[in-house]
Amino acid sequence: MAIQLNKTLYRTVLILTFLAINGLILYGIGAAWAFMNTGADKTSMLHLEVPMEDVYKPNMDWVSLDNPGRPMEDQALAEITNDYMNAWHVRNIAYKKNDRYGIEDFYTDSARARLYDIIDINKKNNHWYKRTTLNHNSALDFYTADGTMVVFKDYNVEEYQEIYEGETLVMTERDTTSYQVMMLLEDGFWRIRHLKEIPSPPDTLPEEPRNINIQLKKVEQIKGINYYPKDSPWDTFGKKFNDSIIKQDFKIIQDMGLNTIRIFIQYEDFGKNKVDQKKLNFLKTLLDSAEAYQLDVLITLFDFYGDYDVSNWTLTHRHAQQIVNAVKDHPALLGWDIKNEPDLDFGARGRLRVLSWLEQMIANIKKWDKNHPVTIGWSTPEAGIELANKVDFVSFHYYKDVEDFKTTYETLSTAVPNKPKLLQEYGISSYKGAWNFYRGADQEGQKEYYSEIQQILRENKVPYMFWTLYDFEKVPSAVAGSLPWKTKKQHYFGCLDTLGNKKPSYSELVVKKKE
Amino acid sequence: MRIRIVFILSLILIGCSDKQEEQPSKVVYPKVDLVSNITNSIAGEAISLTFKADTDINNIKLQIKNAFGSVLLSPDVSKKEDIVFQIPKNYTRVAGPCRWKLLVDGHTLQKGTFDIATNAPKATYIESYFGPRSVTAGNNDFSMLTIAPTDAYDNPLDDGTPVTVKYQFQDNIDELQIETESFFAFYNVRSTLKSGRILVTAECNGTSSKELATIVYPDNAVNFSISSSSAHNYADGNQIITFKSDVIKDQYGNIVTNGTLVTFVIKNDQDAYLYTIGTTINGVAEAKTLHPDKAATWEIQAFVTGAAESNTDNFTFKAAIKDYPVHFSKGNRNIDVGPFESFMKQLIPDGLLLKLDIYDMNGAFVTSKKTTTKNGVCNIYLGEYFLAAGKYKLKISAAGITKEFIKDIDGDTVE
Repeated sequence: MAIQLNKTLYRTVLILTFLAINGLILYGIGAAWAFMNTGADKTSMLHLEVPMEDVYKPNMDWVSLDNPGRPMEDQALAEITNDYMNAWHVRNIAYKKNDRYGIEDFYTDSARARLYDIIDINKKNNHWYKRTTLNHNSALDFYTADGTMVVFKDYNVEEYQEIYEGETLVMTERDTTSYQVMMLLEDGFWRIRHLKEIPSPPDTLPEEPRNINIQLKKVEQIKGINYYPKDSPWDTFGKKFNDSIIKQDFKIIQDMGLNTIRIFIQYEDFGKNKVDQKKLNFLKTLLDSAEAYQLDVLITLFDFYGDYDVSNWTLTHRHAQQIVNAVKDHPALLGWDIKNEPDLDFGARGRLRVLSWLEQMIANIKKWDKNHPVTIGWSTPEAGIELANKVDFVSFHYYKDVEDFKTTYETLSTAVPNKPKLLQEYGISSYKGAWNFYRGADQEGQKEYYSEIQQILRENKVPYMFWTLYDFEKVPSAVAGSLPWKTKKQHYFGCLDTLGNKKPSYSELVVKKKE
Repeated sequence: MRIRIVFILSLILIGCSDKQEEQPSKVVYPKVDLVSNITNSIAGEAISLTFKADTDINNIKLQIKNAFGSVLLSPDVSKKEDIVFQIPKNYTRVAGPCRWKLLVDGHTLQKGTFDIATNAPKATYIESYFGPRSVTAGNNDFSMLTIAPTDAYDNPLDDGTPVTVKYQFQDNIDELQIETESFFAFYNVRSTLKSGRILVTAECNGTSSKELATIVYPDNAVNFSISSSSAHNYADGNQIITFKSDVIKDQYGNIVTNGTLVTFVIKNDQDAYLYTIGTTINGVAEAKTLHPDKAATWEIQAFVTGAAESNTDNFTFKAAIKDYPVHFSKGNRNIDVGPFESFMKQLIPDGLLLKLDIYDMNGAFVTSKKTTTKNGVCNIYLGEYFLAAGKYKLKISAAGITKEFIKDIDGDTVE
């Protein structure tokens, strides 16, 4: 008996080892393959010039151009602004790489010596910085008669920096500092000659108060849906954008008794820092249609964005700014959801970095749009406590068991008692097939799920937005990869099938007038 | 045996289990006090910050930040009672607020600011700019002198630092005091009514700037007068006529800058315009052109484009050639014209234009030929392929004299 058991044991161990070794070899080959395919893009050999506005574009306003010297010309002002921004940019890069590259183009001899000293110390101590500035409010002091010297104040420069020692992030720092700057025009470049910190002026302008209560009331009443058109999921504003299809869908949503939709703006699709006017027009058309069918729209601003790096903060700010300013007065707009499930990037990008980016973005959007609330679409109720004191209402997604919903929701409610909490995404796929070993819910199972959870939501008065209207024939690989066992269930979350027929779950999601 | 299986399986399970996320534990940070209290310093003075802690701290850092950037420092002395940070020179030399933060593991224990004042007494350096480097005379133009004084460590001096400006023009030397504001002081040196050179210099805290200059150029020219002169007034197409302006000045009596372009425009009897150009030397512009080859009356006026004009001067040319002979030969195909004789019966210089127009007997134009004189004569040969035989009207014009002939080409050569 013992011998036989021994034999089985050896056999098991051998087979397991064999499998493990095979697995490791495959993994190794895969890793090597992946490594070979990463690295610099071939075009980088050409050293093409990257336009400045694609790497660094903080907000810069000239609040005053009055000066006792020479009247400022538009052309000169644009050149000064550009070179001043360049000066900040090359400094940021120099401190990131501890490299002097570019400094001499934008700092005069004596000013650059000061930067070199700092670089040398940081290099010696193995410290480096990721820095950016977000806002500049400049006022001209003086522009000389021959147009070769300019002195101005740069008030309340919002600076953000991450300090690294080796590979470790030591701390992040946010500052608002005012400077006085002297620049000289030397061989075609405006270079910084003097840079001195000056006291920041007290904010004399009273901040315009935010007025979001009406919208927040609406949030508490949300009965809504995450919306993608049937034939262009994850690509609402792409080539297939069709106003009449959207109107049909909105009619269906309205007939279901729902009052809100959530839509997504893809960062790259909308043109990053240079937002495509065509896309903005699509967005406005969609909002107009939503208004026609009495639907409120929650806009998710950053989808398919996951960098959060300090070096492109300003670009994401310009992206958001253009979109917010374009539609902030639209009556159909309910509020701003900054980012879809950013907590999923905590692992890859670092929690601190993601939260810093979000926090800054919240502050920006609150500044640009005083009348709409701001939220973040956390992927779990547990993540909902992050930045809870910054958002206007908490949004979370829930894809786990229905039974646990109530307890997790209550935990969140205890942690964040005073803000509306929106169940922003939930649902279940009706896919039951070979790729999940016939373990998932089928269409009846989906119906059951909804009948259960809708009951809980009604009882607890939880505003909700389910996922989603249609089953999708095609799901882009950017959503859940291209592996069928991962992506298959993404196709079947709808309450209507790919042909638009009602699935059993539909009846559970229709809101009776009484509710 | 079963225990072993369970043991191995549990090992595998443990190996597969997720790494638990570390829960942030409550860290108790040490208490640190600032011992040396520096609030003000002067650029260039050594600064050190000393702290006292209640426990030993390993990873203590001081962040120093000014307008140019920040660095993280490790303590020079790191005992529990005595943590000393020596601020690097490149920070102690930069005037302005200098911020510090005491950090342990990225956590800020304490922070503060000290101000570093400029160090003008040690040394003052002056950077001065003067421009534009040329102005025009009068009451409107000026050159701006900007003086940006710095201290020994290249910090711009505080607002309100007095700067003495001196400027000299001819016999005058003026001096005045101004004060810096926004890193610099400026003074607009007004242009003078007389042209010349203005020299400026500035002085601050006993340091003088270099000498800077601007040139006062004369203002725009005002109206002037011209005259014409020539050796004779015959229209011989050879003599040169000279136009000359008087001394051209600006409104303040300054002679215009050498090289000022003056255009002399000539209108002849046919209302055709000719022009010639001269530039001024010591205010006088001179321009020349050839006499016409036939009698004419010229009206001459000169302009400094966009600024000034002269009076209109007249010049009348008398005809130099009174008449010329024409001789036909070789069946009227060969035409010899000349000799052309000028006002003293001398042969005219080469190059007088002669034009022959040929008409048929109905008066319709057939063709024309041009030639110029050489050694006082010229010749035209009408070849067989150029002009068919027949009767034609020939019209010859030169030196303003036109002669008409009716000739039978290839016919009788006798007139």
